[in-house]
Amino acid sequence: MQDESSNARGLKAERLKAEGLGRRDFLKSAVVGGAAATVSLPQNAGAQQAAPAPAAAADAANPGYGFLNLEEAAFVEALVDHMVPADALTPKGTDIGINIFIDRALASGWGKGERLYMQGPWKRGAPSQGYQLPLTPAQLYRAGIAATNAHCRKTYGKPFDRLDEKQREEVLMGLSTGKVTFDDGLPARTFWTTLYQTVMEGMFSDPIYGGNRNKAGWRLIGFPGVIAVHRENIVKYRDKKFPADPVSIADMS
Amino acid sequence: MATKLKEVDAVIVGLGWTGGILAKELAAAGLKVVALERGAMRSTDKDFALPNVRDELRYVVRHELMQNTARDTLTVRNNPSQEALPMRRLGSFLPGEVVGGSAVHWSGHTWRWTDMEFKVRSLYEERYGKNFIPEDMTIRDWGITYAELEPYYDRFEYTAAISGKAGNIQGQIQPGGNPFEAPRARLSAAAAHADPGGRDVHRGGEEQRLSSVPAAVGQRLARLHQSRRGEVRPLRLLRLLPALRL
Repeated sequence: MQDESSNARGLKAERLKAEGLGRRDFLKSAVVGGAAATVSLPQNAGAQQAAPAPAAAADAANPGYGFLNLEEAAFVEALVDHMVPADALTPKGTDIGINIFIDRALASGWGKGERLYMQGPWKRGAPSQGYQLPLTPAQLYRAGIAATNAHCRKTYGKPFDRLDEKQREEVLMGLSTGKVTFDDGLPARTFWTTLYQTVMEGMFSDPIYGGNRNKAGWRLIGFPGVIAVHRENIVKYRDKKFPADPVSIADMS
Repeated sequence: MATKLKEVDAVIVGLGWTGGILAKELAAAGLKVVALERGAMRSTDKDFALPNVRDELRYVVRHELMQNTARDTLTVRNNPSQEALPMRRLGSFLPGEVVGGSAVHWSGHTWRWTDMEFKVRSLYEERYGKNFIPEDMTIRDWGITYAELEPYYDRFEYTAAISGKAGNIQGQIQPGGNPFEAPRARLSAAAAHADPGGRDVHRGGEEQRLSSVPAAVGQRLARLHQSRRGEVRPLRLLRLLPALRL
């Protein structure tokens, strides 16, 4: 809290003032109107009208987005393809549906803050006191993508999805180490934590949620999936490689 | 308008482990008991059935069986100089919800304490001297012995049909059981599950196999939660930290 206010008095204050967007204002308006209201993004409705070209709609692998707008979709696709590149281990992130997982998660109850205590007091708190932002996961995601793209435009002259591989790496490393800070006061590392969590979930959750397509994530780590009992296998495959032919909820239904 | 229900002898608010045991004891004593519990109505055959009960995102990550912190939660601080803030999501502990409470999602292990865990302060002082435990460390003996508690362990385990291989019956070490157990009066309530065998451990870069210690398992509930049966570590840790037990 103190760090934040001294920052706000420092170099960034001018810019924040110019944009009429102090950290507290940002957080307040985020609670009241949704984070999208504080940043000028294309509205979701517009994106939905523009997005589904007939060819894309027919493609089962890319069923379209329910939450992400065009700018956000481009960001998420670039993100998951960078974090999960196509290589000997797995197909690339969008080919195993991590972008679809993220879109659905943000549109779901979880994205809307289900099970998240959303009443005051709103204080930053110590890291050990856990998440304290007045934003639902969907609001955090929306604001974080806008802030990351603003950082990318300032630093590289273009949004994240148009950066080359080395620049993308630099941005993501910057978010994860706290080297990148956002001008609008959103804590970059908190955004990073959520990004990372959702990419991992999209990689390793059951395919019913749209990610982990063809159980690629489970094959990668040799996870057997939802089989009823593992006991016999512990004896059978002791000191042997477990033949990962994972079983998903759909396989068992 | 309020509905006036028929009067009963006892009303229990919250039907988890504690309320459940109380309800059983009171009913057995002949009292008419009503228990109140919040949350969804769940049934074993529908809500805990394969394959969906194995959905780790839904249950382990998103906490569907746990208390809903959007409705009410605790405030937490780590030391007196901090300001307590709401715990906005569950984390280090997972209180349950609906009939059964935390018993619905527990890991299915019921370890007894060993004899020494009841007198950990005395034993440390005996071994390392009076000055070994820092003055501001509040660790203390429990003021009750294992022997005094044994009949209650026994009664609970038979009530909950806990299975397992006894390691020490009335002082006699039992082959195949946990040799570090404190003595128990009689065999476990139900037969032990088949044991997948020893666990592999790595020590000094070289692989060794240790014989496993059969766990005491809540059989009926454990059947619903088999995927978690292997995880003995969190409970074992709790066992070693008497000062943290609530």
